[in-house]
Amino acid sequence: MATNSEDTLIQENIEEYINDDNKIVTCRWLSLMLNLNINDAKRALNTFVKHHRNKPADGLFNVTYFIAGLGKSKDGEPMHKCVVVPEAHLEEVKNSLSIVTSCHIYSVQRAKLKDYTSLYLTDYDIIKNNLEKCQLLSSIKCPRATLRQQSKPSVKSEGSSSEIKFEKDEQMAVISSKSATSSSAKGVSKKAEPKGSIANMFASAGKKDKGDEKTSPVSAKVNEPTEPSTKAKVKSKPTEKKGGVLSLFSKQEVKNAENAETNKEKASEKERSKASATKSNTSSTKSNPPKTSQTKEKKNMKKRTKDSGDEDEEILERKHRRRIRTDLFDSSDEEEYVSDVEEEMEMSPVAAGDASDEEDTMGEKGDEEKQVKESVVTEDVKEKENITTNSANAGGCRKRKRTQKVASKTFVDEDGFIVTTKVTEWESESDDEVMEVQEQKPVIAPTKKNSVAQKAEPKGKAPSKKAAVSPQKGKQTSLMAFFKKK
Amino acid sequence: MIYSKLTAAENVGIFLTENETVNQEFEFVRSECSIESNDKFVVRDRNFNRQYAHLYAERLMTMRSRLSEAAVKKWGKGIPQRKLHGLNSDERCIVIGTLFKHMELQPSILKEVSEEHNLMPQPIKSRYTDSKDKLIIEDELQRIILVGQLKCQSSVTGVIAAVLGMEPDDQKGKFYVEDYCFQELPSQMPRPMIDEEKFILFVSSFEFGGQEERSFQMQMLADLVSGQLGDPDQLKASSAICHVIIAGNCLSRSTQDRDSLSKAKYLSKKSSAGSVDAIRSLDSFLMELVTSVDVTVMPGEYDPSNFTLPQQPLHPCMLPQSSRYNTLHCQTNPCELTVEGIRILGSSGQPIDDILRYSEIDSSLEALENTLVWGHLAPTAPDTLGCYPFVKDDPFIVSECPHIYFAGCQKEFSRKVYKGPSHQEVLLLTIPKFCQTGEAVLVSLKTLEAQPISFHGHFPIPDEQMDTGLDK
Repeated sequence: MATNSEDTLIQENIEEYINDDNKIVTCRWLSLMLNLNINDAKRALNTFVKHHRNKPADGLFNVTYFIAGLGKSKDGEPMHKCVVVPEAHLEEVKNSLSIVTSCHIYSVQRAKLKDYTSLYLTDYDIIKNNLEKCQLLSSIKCPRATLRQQSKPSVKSEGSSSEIKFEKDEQMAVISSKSATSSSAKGVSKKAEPKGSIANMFASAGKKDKGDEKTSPVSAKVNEPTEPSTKAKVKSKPTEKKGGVLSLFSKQEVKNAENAETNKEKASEKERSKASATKSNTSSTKSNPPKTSQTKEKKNMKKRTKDSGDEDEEILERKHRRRIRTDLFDSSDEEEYVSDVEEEMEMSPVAAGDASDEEDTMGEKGDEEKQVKESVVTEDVKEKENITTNSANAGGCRKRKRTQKVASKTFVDEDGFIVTTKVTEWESESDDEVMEVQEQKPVIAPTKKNSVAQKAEPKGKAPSKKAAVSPQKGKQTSLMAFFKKK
Repeated sequence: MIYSKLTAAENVGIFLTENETVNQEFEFVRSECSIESNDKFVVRDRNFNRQYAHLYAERLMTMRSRLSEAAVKKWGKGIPQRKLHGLNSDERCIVIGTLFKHMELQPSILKEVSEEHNLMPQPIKSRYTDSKDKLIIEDELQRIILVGQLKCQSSVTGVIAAVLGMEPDDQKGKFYVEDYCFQELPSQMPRPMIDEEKFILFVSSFEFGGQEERSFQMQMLADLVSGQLGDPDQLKASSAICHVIIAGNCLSRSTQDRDSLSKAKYLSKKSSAGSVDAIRSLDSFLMELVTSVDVTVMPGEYDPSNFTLPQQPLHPCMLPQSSRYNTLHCQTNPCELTVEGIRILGSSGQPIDDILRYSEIDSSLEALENTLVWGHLAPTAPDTLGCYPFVKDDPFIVSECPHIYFAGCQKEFSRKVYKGPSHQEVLLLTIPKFCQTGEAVLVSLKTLEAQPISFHGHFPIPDEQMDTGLDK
């Protein structure tokens, strides 16, 4: 029971709602607004009416009552009636009922009500916003009503599993929007959702490929680290896989010279078992993507393995992490990325500084994600990851150079308008060719691409970028110079 | 208890007294009940390539033995039971078969497309009966026209009946019915003794998204059931409501826009179906109920389920919030469930509506009773009512006697206790449309008494004689 001070506080609140805000105060609204038990709310309203009726200045409000009781239907049969009625008709209704079982105040308001629509609307919003709280304030408790276990009853259907994924993605999006410095939450979540779900599909495939990469023979002859192509590939994967990759690489230390075939098998097996333990991934979603992206992956793995052969373990890890990081920013939330970039405007184009910044946000994000997703990463791997990120910060990056430029982006916003904005972007050096290609075309071409095929991006970009990689090294530097002047 | 006996309630107006006098907390716990649902109406294999002949054959085969017993019981063993091909002229005999009602006015797609008729539009009627209708009985091989006692007006196609009579020698092709009978109502499980008062609330036709949607009354209903409205005794009585059955048509007909099917895709790409918002409202409405009480939701004619009977449960993904609770039970239509040992059987009303269309039965209660007497929940399916082509099993045959037998989405509340030949007592209920009447039905599990409960927001005059237009 409320103490006296609470009571007076409640009374003051009611008075404010009614007299100052000119609101309709129903008992349900009051109970949800002030977190009162519904019966206390009824009482409080009554106290309010009793006290203020005596004062002539304040007495100008209308009261509706809830009455229930036994009445007669049209055919004269007994019928239990529940009526909400304005005060003027209170007695009339009471008399029409043979037995009155309930009579209490339903609402208090200054306005004279013509019908009950406004009463309904008053309750509507607050009830819809507090659906789960309603029951706590009710006077009937139902211990039976509990949430079902999260493993939905119909696990068999693919729909349900994707539903779960989707939910998780949403959560992830929310979290990322929280951690984002200045981007609007809506935009982020909107962008993150579809891509996240697609990315999820490919996630398992990606892991598998990593397994392939590390074990393949070190005989490939590729000139460059081939960032664009890996980027394109990685784009379709969320950061979730980081842990998996890391763990795989850490094992590589031990068994570098092992047979490709066996390792591959092991890796995929491991992935499978992990995935089945943690996620409710259906087997079909897992098995399909690898097939479709196999050819692409093979190339990548050859290229990648060159790296792993030349450089030592840590560098490889770092490099790899960094790539994913930038990709994630690119793909999931551009706005966020931009804002980050803007903050770092003054810094040198060599990415030491901003890499560290990104690293931090990424670390956070990654961790949160992992929590949400119950991802594959085990605890120790996570720790190790943090360590490596630190070392990456200290060491800085060698090969990457980044340039800043202004690009106009067109996209369809929530209301369906096509919006074109100028966006400052940091581009890694090797991406320049691609950008250059786009730049040379009339502006319409990229906008079209962006607006039409936002979802298809991860897939759609991959081949075009690959094609653009082929030109020789010499050309790149000149292009760099071009953009710097700009 | 407030809802069953007409005793005066205490503590009325307790919330209209000052705080100091009442320092009492009123907390009640929802009474519990055991719920078992029978999944015999769940369609497992979805094979739509079959003909309906199997269903009729199955119905006749299953019910023939029961009818044979019933006929022997009624008319004795002396009278021979004949198949139509073995019929002898002027011999008094019993024929068991499926009734078929030949109706001139029955809408037929063949008539509509046939060339002779394509200039004459089919009359649009709410009832397709005519004085020239003929009743025919069919067995596995043949058919014969029935004349005499079995009234054509009150019969419908698809009922299995046993008729006693003869085919006169001078009037071949007609069978003169002297008497008739249907299957006997199966024996009933004894009703369990329930000590405390428990209620089931039946309600139907909320019709979210429609013109007639009564949001305020629905809110009152939810508030009352979930214990937000009323004085302590009322709350106590409300806490005794252990189950809510929503018998169909949660969504309005207007949420089904069939135009979108014929429209070009690019025109309707951006627009979402009308049912999306409605089902979202339904979800949050159900949330208020399921957090407090067990709720069974049956699909109805306009709900997003399949069209043919038995309609399959609403998919939980449509109700993302409320389906998280274990208290939400999505059921088939028709559905059969057992609450606290009380067997409840019912539909969302389509079979009853269809019988009313194709016979001269006037009240839905009578139609409901007839389906029980005929021993078949939906005899007009598959003739004039959409039905899944069952092959080895006709789930609509009444093979177990319920305690409560209801039909949702009817015009008005009505009830009747049907007494069977071997002391079965079945409470027949027609559940009114909430969107039109603002009424629900409370049934006591202890006594099987039914009482309507109505919700009004009366501005300005609360009276039954008042114009109902004000009530909307």
